[in-house]
Amino acid sequence: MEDNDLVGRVIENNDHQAFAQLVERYQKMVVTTCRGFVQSYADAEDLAQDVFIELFESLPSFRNESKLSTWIYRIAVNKSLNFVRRRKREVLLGNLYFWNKDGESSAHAQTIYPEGEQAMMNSERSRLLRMAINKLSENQRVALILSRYQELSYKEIADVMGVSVSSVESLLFRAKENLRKLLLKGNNI
Amino acid sequence: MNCKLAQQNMLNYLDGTINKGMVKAFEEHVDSCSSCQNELQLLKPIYKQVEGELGEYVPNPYFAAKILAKLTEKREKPATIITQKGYILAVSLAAAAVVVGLFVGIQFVNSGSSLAQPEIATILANDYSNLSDSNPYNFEVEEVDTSLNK
Repeated sequence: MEDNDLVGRVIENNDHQAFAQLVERYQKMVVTTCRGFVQSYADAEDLAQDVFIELFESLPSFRNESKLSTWIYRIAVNKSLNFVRRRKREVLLGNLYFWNKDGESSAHAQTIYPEGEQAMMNSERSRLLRMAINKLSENQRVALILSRYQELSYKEIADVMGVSVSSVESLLFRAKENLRKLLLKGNNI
Repeated sequence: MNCKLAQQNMLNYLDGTINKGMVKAFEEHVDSCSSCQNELQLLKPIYKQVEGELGEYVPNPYFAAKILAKLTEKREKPATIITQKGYILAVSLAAAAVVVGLFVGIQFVNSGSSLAQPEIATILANDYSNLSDSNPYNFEVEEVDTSLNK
């Protein structure tokens, strides 16, 4: 069944089964997009749940002017950016608390790695990558994540972000240049 | 190709978005430049970790069911909201009743305190003195000849 038919059934009949089909269709897309912004799949899945609940509530205002996937990407990006902003504030407050308490910061922020050297290396690489990505400006970050994690075209990224294709080209160019510098800085070169 | 151009295209080379016409020149430069070669080797495993992360994804088979449960829970919540609204209304009415009670009480006390006004006090005092005429203990005091005591 096409997206539009399922959307129609959700709006007209409040059909939860039709909505469940939409969720299953877009689950991977949403979870992996959110994963680009956050450190773990557990966080990404929590975020994805919020994305689909907002999608359900906003479907009546969906007017088929854009593709449903574009609409979903927009919700996912906004939710993820809000999550990262909130998490940054929490970390900042947490660091202040620990500075006051123990005289040293981030004692609680140590990463616990899964067992195994390879898994440990992957976790460390993932952490370095996320730290660098989260230091990019929001626009550069969104463009990079949609390009790298979803392999969207410039046109598709432009539609999601509501900017021109040339802006996306420029954002991606700067994002990659900044990311390269940040990753090398993270490796102490 | 020089180092600057090679560095600008390093991540594009790694994610396969480099202009196809530039691939050969890029590879030739990296082969002959130890600095760029070093950078590429350091960046590759971290930047390629994106593919690693995507490969780790295992779809949760209960994901849709979880969302439907949340939606159902949300749909049932308005009843709770009405209960909360009712509670808030009851508390508000009680508070309003207390305020009205206080207001009426203050008005009553203010009207009663007119005793404190001098003109009213005078009227009341005069009334009281008139009443003294009917006082059964009110009697004339006879004049006493005090010279006898001397």
